[in-house]
Amino acid sequence: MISHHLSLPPQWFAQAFPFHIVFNRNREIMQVGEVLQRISPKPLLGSQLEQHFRISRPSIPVDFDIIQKRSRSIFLLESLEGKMQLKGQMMYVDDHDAIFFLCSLWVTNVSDLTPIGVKLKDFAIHDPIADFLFLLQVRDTALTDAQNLTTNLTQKQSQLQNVLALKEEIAQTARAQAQQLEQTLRELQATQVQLVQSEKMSSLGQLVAGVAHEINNPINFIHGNIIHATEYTQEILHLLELYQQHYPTPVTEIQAEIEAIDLDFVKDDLVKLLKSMRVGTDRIREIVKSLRSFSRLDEAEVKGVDIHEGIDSTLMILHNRLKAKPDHPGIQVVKEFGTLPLVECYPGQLNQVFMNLISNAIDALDEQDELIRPKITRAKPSQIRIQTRVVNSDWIAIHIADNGPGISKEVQSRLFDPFFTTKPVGKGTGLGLSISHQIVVERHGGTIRCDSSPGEGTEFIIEIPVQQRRQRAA
Amino acid sequence: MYGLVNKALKDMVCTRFGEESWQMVQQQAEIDIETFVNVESYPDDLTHRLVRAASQVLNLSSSEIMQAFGEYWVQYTASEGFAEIIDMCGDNLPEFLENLDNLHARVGVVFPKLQPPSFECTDVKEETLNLHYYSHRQGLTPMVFGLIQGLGKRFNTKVNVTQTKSREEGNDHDEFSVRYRQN
Repeated sequence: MISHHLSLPPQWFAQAFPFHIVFNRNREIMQVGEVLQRISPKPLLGSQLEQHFRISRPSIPVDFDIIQKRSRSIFLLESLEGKMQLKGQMMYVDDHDAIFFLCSLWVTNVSDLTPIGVKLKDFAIHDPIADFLFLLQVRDTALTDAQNLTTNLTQKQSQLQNVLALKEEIAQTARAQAQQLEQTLRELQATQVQLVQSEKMSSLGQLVAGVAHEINNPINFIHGNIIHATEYTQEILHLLELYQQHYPTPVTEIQAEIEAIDLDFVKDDLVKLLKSMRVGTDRIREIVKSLRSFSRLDEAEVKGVDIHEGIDSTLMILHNRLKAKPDHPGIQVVKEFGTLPLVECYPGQLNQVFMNLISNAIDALDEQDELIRPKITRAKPSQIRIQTRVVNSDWIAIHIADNGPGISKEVQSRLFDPFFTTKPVGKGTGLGLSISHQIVVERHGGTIRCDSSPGEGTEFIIEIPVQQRRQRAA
Repeated sequence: MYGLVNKALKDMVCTRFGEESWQMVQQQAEIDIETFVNVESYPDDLTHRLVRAASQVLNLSSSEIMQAFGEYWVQYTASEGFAEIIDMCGDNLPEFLENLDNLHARVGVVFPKLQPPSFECTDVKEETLNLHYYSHRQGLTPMVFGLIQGLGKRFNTKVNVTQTKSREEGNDHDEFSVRYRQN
């Protein structure tokens, strides 16, 4: 045990405890620290402790004996004359039968010192209350600093969010504009190609019409002359027979010539030859008629036309692709034409639609034939069925169906997109159905749709109004 | 040094020379810290770089910068919430200077990384005293001149300061003779 036999001289004790109080058993204040005495509103020496203070901690009355027993307690004494508080410990000294309250001023804010009239220098150097106050001050400034930083950060965050929102808005606008540009570009490309295609078709139509016109006249007079030539030939042959009847024994030179030219064969073959020529000119005239009907160049305006005539002329032009050949089984065309009224339309353009749809059907059927033949013989031959019908008094419908391989849903969703094609490179432009869609929907106010599933064939259904509205100009 | 010092330097440059000058100082010092935190500890080198950069940008010597900074420091710390602490440390210049070491000792207790300087007053008379300045940091002596000037303004006291000892001359500390007269 350490022996404490030294003590402070009274003046140093007073300096070490500038706020201390010493009171006796009668609670009479016998000694007071210098600073406490200075800041107290009333003189403390000689007065009762309870006249100036109450004990706020511990919860005990101002009683000497009770206080004496609480030497291990923290005491908080509250001034009755102001807001001043003293914190410390009560120490009983039996030599003096008195209690020493060794304490210091207790404040939690530096600003509390000024009203009391205390400066930092009034605290004992060893007193940690000064450091505590300094720490509190630092804490307050740090909190203010943190609040300023938080405000600053919040503002910056807000600015950042605004900038990000603006950036997103700009990005969205840019994306929308890019999409719009892309769409416009696609439309422009499609329009350009369609124009080129349209111009090509127009030029082709002019060429076809021109050729048909040029062929039409000579073939007509050949055809007409063949009729007369046949009559004249029959008359000459009849005359020849009369000669042979009346002069059965011709002179030697004639007999020799008869034998040389094989007159019997010539007579027989000449008739056949003229018949054959007649069939040929009939066929040429039919083709010319179809070509003229198909091109319909003279019909730029909307006019009432026989839809069947357009379909027939298209089939005629495609005849070579439909008929059977040694390496090709041929495609059967089934026509189920209803009784249609004359339909107001641009016939040349509608014929182009028929050409596109029937050509596609032939392509599909050819592809299918190549795939399955000659491995197996198809029970059902390739077939294109063309049906026309009246939907109601204002609308007619044309169905063009094939029993080919059919089209998947995915492909169907893009069928009418410009440049979309399933054909090999170089075989398809991807514009046929796009242009057909434009002709039917935009030029004629009609509809065109595809009904197909893989393995079940494909059917295109075109519906157009019988009469065109005047504003849908060419 | 704690951020409060760098913040005060920034505030001084911005107040007296404008924000653009501070931007140039930061650029020159190659320091990209927008906000200094009061109680955050920063390397001493950062402060020295800022002072050197300010010297170049503002065309002032480092000594002039530090002296101005010392004077500014008094009003800046007061404005940053330490006015009451300063007030509690004395009613007049000599009293404050005598408490200056305790003030820094308490600062050191609260900011253990700060390693604040130490001061001692000797030969305190009615109008003169000798102020002894001990610091392990170099280059801050001119700041003490400014500091005393700033305190003189705060306590409305005319001050004349002369350096009587210098570490540059081999002494272990700097010493200033301070003459003062209350206005």
